[in-house]
Parts: sequence; structure tokens; C-alpha cells
Amino acid sequence: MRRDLIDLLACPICKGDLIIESESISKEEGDEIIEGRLYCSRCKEYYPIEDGVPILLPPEMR
Amino acid sequence: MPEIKSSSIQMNEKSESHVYEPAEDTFLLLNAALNEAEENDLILELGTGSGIIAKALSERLKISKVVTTDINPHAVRYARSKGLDVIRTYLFRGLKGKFDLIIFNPPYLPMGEREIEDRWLEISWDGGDDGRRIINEFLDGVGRHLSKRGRFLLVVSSLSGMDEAIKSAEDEGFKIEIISEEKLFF
Repeated sequence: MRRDLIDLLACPICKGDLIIESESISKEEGDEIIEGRLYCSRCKEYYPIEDGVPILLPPEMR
Repeated sequence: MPEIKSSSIQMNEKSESHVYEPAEDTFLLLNAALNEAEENDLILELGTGSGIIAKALSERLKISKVVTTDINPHAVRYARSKGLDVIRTYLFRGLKGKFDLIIFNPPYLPMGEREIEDRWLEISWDGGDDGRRIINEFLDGVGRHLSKRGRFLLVVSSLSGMDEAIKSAEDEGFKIEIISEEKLFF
């Protein structure tokens, strides 16, 4: 995912803001994150970025 | 503007057996979207499937940004391989912000309880008992994601009760217009 996409993403549980967890990024191409994680500080939930796609589903729906 | 016909585009990889293949309803929506979309629109396509509508829009509109979603992991992989911005989520669950144009070819076939053969593929057409389960959820959430000049394009089938769907949308306060129709035989 491109980094500026974060402005359009929300936690699927609480609809709050997500942050890109910088230390989780293991693969990047240009301004795109290929492998990494997003984090909701309110729900304390992580959302993976896999093959460049953020997965914004609650854990039970993945 | 020349109409894009189904015969001119095909999905090429055999890998995509779990992804809804572009069909008549895809091309109905594609042509409507090409007519409706304006330069500078922030566009969202829900349930993008093969991604061909979003791809055509992003090629036509150089300034606009097109964001796509799907719940199907095979579809998101396919759409991403076409260079699209893809989010794996369910309807508006993982989204915030407002869009100028929202496009959705929803699952609209009425389906009761039955054996499921291909879960990810069937999700792309299963509209619940009356065919309007996902449509109603969409109509419930879409207002929160439309900008001031925001519009949405939604495919509705006579099989899932067109009048009822239009009424639901009007009850949510939307002004509804039928912009394109096609008769299909099954």
C-alpha cells in the first residue's frame, strides 16, 4: 500500500485512526509498503499488510 | 464514447477461478462509471473483483485517485497485480474519509441456505434470502462516505427487487436515478 492511503483507512472495529507501525515494515518498494503492519491504539489490534494489501478485517473475519 | 464490450476484455490468468469474472453487469457498471466519473474525483470501488472497472477509470482519468476494496483474498491479489490500490475489507469497515464517487456491483442474487462449493466466489453474488442483504448494508453506510458532491453507482437486479432497493435508498435520503439498464436472460 502507498503510504498516503493511510488517510483513508480506519480500524474496522472502532473506526478510529490507524498508524503505520514503522518497525514492522519488512519490505518496501518506493513509497509502497509491501509487508508490514497497521495498528489501532484504541483497540490494541494489529492489521497486517500482505503483498502490498492492508487487511482491515477483525481477526475472526480474516 | 465507444462502449466497452465484454468480448474485448478477458481475464488472462487461470489462477483466478475464485474471482468473479467480468460479466454483463460488470460492463453495464463500467460504462456507467466512465460516463459519470470526473477528473479530480476521489473514487472508491467496493468489491472490485477482477478490478477491471477501477483499472479502466484510473487509465481514463489521470488526476483522479481510485481506491478499491474486496473481501476476497484472491480478488485483492488479482486487482493488486493490475497496479490498483487495494484494501481487503468488508464494505466500509476499514475505511474513513469521504469520496466523490462510490461504485459497487454488489452480490445481489437471492440465495437461501445451501451447500457452498467455492466460498470466495459465492460471496461475490450471494445477496442473502431476498438478494438485498448487502445492498441494504451498503445503503446504510454509504452516506457517511460521500463528499458534498458525492454520487454512488450501484447495480441492482430485478431478481432482488428493484423497487424495494430504490425505496430503501430513498428512505436513506438519497436522490435516485436509473442511468443504465440492460435486459439479461438466465
